[in-house]
Amino acid sequence: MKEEEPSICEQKNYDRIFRTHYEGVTRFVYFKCGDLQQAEDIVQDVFLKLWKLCSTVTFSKVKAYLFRAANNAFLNERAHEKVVLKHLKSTAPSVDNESPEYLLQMDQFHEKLKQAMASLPQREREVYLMSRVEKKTYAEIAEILGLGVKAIERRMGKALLILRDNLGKELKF
Amino acid sequence: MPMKEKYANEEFLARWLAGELSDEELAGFRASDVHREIMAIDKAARSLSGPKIDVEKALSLVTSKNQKAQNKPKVKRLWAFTAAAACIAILFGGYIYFYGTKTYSTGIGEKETVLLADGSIIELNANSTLSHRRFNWQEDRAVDFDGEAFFDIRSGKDFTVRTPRGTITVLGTRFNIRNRGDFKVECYEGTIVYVPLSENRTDTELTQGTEIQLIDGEILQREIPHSSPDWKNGFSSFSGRPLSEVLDELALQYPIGFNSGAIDVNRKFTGKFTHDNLENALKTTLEPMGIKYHISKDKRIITLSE
Repeated sequence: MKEEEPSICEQKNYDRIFRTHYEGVTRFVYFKCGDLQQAEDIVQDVFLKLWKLCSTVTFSKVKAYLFRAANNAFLNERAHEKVVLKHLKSTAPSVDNESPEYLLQMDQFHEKLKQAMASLPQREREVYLMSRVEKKTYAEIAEILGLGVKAIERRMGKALLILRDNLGKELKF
Repeated sequence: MPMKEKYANEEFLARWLAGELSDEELAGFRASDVHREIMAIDKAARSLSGPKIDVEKALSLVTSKNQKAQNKPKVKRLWAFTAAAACIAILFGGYIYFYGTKTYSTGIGEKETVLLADGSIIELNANSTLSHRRFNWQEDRAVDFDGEAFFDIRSGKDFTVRTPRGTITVLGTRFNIRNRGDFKVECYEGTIVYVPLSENRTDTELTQGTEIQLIDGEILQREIPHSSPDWKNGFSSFSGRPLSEVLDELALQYPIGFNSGAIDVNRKFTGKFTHDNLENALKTTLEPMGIKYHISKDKRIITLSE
């Protein structure tokens, strides 16, 4: 006898799902469109829809559903404008012994890095950011995107290559 | 730089990420500038963090929208109500069609002739009611009846008339039933059976030209002096009936009420009155009894006096 899954129609279960997945899904969409406000709107709509369809989505499949629905909603949105990843913040390791010049250089480099990431093709960008910023494994990313791990590795390789082409000359050794 | 080209290559990087490089390839790659650059970029990228997201604020926003949206499904629920109402209406209609009854009734002073599906004719006297099943009536010929009426029944299966004071069963005859103050059944043709309501009384069979009258619970049987009921000829006749009964009959045929005052209404009356002229009817019933009467202006109230 299979154990009864918790119903998403119950407010407390719905809240739990919201708290668990809202942030991840929003960032996922943010990496795609580079606009935090738009990302939040899209994901909130997805959650509104989830409430309406609460009886048709099973608790165990809700994560996959959310990412899939958010992705579809994003694709349905208008062609997005130039991607600006201004909401990425550097969690600069407060290393006091670094020289001010070095910190300044790091700041400048971070700006250039963000621009370079923003100019990545969307498919490579979302994979790269999920992997490096969200620290997700390739398997997790593959699950979210509904792709194989091989495809994720390929996209990562391409992303690394493009970033190196753009930033290689900035790096002085 | 062939070495650099070798490493700065999408496929090679993918293999590296997948951990599919051989030890030699890995060693070579690690020593290259490409590797160093990529690691530096990665290090910087890893130090970035995603946007700050206020989950609780978003949750309260979405929850309030959800609660608003909950009003929407009411449209669907109304649909269900409509469907339920339609079902009930159909069931009700079906019930009416299959089990419903058709009712004929006459008011004060009215007479009506009813032709039933089997060709039987029932003539209703004033203030009488007749009802029968609407569907499949001919399979079970039965009518519910109160008041006074003349029945001309086509022969066939049993025909049953249910009255509040007993049932009359016939095959095919002509007879009159009167259930007013008194109860009277007159048989003009064929044979009919009167079945009293209370079970301890025996059934009474009436043959052609006889009538029964229920007086104080006793059945009185006798010959009919006429060939059709008086009311069908446009008058009511009485022989030795109390005046109160006569007044009731008058009130059935004419839209009037009596204010009898101190008059003794138990006096017996013999005679008849017509159904089409109030003045004459009053004159023929009240004058022989020595009763003066006064008709109110709207001709509704008759005040009696000695």
